[in-house]
Amino acid sequence: MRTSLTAVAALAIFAPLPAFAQEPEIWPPPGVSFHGDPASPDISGVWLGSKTGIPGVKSAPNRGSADGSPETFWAPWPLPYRPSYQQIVDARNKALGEGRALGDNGAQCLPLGIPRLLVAKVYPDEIVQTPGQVTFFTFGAFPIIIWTDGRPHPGDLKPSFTGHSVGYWVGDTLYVETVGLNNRTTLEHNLSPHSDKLTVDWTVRRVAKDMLHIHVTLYDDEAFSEPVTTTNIWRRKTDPRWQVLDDGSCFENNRTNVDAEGNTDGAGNTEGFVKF
Amino acid sequence: MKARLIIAALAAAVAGPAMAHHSFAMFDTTREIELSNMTIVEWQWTSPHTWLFAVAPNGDRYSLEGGNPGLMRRQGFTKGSMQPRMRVTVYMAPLRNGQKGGAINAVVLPGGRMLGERKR
Repeated sequence: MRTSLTAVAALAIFAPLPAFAQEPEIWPPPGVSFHGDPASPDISGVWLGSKTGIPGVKSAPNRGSADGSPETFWAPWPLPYRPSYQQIVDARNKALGEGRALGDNGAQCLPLGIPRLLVAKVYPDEIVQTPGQVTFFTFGAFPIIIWTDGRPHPGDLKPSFTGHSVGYWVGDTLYVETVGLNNRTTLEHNLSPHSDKLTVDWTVRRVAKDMLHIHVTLYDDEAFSEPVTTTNIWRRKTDPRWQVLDDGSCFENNRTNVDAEGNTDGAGNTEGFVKF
Repeated sequence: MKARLIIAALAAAVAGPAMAHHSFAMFDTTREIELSNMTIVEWQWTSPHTWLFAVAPNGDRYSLEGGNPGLMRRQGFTKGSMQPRMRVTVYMAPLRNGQKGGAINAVVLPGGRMLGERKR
């Protein structure tokens, strides 16, 4: 296709070949496979991960993983928070027990972000592989771009919800490091916090044609006394009902009342719930 | 007591992946309430959540929150599933504060077809 378009363009202007006609005729370039790197597996497609649960707490039948697959968990458990962060956890858990939520950035229509989007899955994601990058289109967040072209992390990152990710392939495994995260994202639906010192090392391993293991390790010396890990299981979804990525446009009809800190704790409203 | 409170909090929190956009804490997911003969006022097929507004036979007005259309679609709901003036039965996880509203677990349409999944 590229060759024919180039030829047509050159003939059309009856002139010496323009600059764009001198682009490499071979695509992808030598040494780079269609999937981005030599011998990297094909993980492009639509996938659904599993839900991150709480050990010992059984979910209601229709509140578990979206396709009924088993839950996965963080380890160690309870999460090894340092005292100052344990205070945040205790306050959040106390509020949750009272029907309120503290630090719920999703309720503010902010991106769910990393690490939550890697391990607390409800909606399908699409992975697209191109030379030099692997892109995850996820629900409720900016795309996660994993640069596999050898570039380093920028030195002046603004802390963000998705951060900056670089990676490389070894066999069937993509090794990724994500930095530059802010402290407003959470670990999962339970709103477990982390600091902005968080580095997420994660691997994407194709263990079978239609199954990925997303192994995540959180390094956050400010929040945790030791690294925290989990392995989320993503299954390829080829059934048509999973093939449409969901529209997560939060501002279309957001009826959740929430304050500037992400708290749905009243302030005159019906605890974050709008009546008609 | 403290331990029980924490367990209750965790149960409330993890029960809510159907919401995703916000915490499920405002709903008591350990309970399921049946609302029968509800007259639909409006079914909003929108992001980040679907909403069902309906009136009970005694005139009580209920706000019922569902998941994102994508999630609801995979549970059988569609934009055209419900129309104003339609009579349905709703199964909901009620608001903890006792006000008239909750999270949609399932809806039974006039012909008897159930959309979603009952919790109990």
